[in-house]
Amino acid sequence: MTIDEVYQLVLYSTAKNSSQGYVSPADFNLVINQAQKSYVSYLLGSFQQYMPGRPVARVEFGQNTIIRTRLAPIIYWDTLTVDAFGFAPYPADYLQTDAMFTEEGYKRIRSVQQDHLYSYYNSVIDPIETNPIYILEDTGFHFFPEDIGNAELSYVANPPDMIWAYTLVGDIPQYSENGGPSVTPTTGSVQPVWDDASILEIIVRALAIIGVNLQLQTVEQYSMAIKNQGQ
Amino acid sequence: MTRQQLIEQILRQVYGNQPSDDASITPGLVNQMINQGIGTMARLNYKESVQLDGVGYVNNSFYSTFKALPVTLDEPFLFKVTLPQVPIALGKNEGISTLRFKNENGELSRPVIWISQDQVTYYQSMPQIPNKLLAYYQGNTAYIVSTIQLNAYTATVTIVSGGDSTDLNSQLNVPDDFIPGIIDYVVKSLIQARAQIRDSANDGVDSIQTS
Repeated sequence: MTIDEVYQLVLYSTAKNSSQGYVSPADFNLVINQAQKSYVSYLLGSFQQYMPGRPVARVEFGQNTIIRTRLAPIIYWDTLTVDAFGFAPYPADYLQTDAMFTEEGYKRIRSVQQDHLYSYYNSVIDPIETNPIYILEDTGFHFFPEDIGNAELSYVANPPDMIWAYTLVGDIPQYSENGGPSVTPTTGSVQPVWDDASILEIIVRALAIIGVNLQLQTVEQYSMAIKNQGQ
Repeated sequence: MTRQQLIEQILRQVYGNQPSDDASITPGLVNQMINQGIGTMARLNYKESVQLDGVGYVNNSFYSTFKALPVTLDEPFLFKVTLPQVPIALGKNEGISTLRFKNENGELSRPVIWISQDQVTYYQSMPQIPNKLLAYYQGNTAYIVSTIQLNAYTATVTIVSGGDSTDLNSQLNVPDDFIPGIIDYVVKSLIQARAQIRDSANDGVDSIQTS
């Protein structure tokens, strides 16, 4: 589904020609990306659903292949170069680690929380020289042993922002797939990376935001019904 | 069966699946518990042989031979060899079978005669036995009483052991009929460990107190 088709569906759902309201391109670009972030967060796992002693959401990344398939468009692979201090910065679009391996042999590099670092670092059963670990810091990964060299990272990335670009014909915005000096923005449209099933999930989230903004109860109800009961 | 095969089998049994990359039970931990399981099974085999045959022994399948162990001087006329592991406590000193010395030409000596710890206290009052080496072990160190300079030789030792625990690709020297016993021991221990209350809050208070 293209970004134009997404916009048209949103306009249709909000009845743009009625007196209830109008979703401008700028509003759409803002809302659809917010909805996209909401959808990614949902697939990664909502910690509001955690239970005491069982920190697992109803839907959570890694639960099964379906969720992984939905997120597949934003699962990237990168080779990290670790400096002499054991530090490697996050990739620019990094959102969450999927898995970390050594460069050779695909041996796992375990994620450790800072409050457990001492016990992992000093373990004699699993010495870090043969069982490397990493912790998360503000701007990157910190590896132990620090001379690990390189690491292979599979991660969930922030999805690229979708953009519905347009040119003005009269006062009416017309969709423009490509960029140009008369196009807003000049870089042109950015298509969604998602499959159609995911796009629908994102649209209902966008409609929920729009519904609140326009105080359209029917739109909100429609959106909530789809979110709660499925497509 | 190699150690790695048994470790993988145990991990899959504990996790009910292939373990994920955040699995807290590591091959190193399982390997260590396998060693303890082997000891338990060797002891069981020893007890069974006493019950069935009236003579204590451990089946040949449990034995491993380790070669090229360095010999060092401990005191005058007393040499020592660091064993690959503490021998299993079978009988007075039956966790270890033979100890021989090899010269640079690859020629092996006759095996030492093992004495128990209580015999150590009076053998020194006895006349030297010609052409015989007496030895005893404490922990993972074997001591050899000798007037020959043994530190010019290397030691070859055969002990009750599951094999080389430092090499996960090495053969596990345990007969198949005792493998389920090892698995049972290790899996029970691991499941018990997994059932413990975990301190998931970094609040400066031990989880036992907060739960």
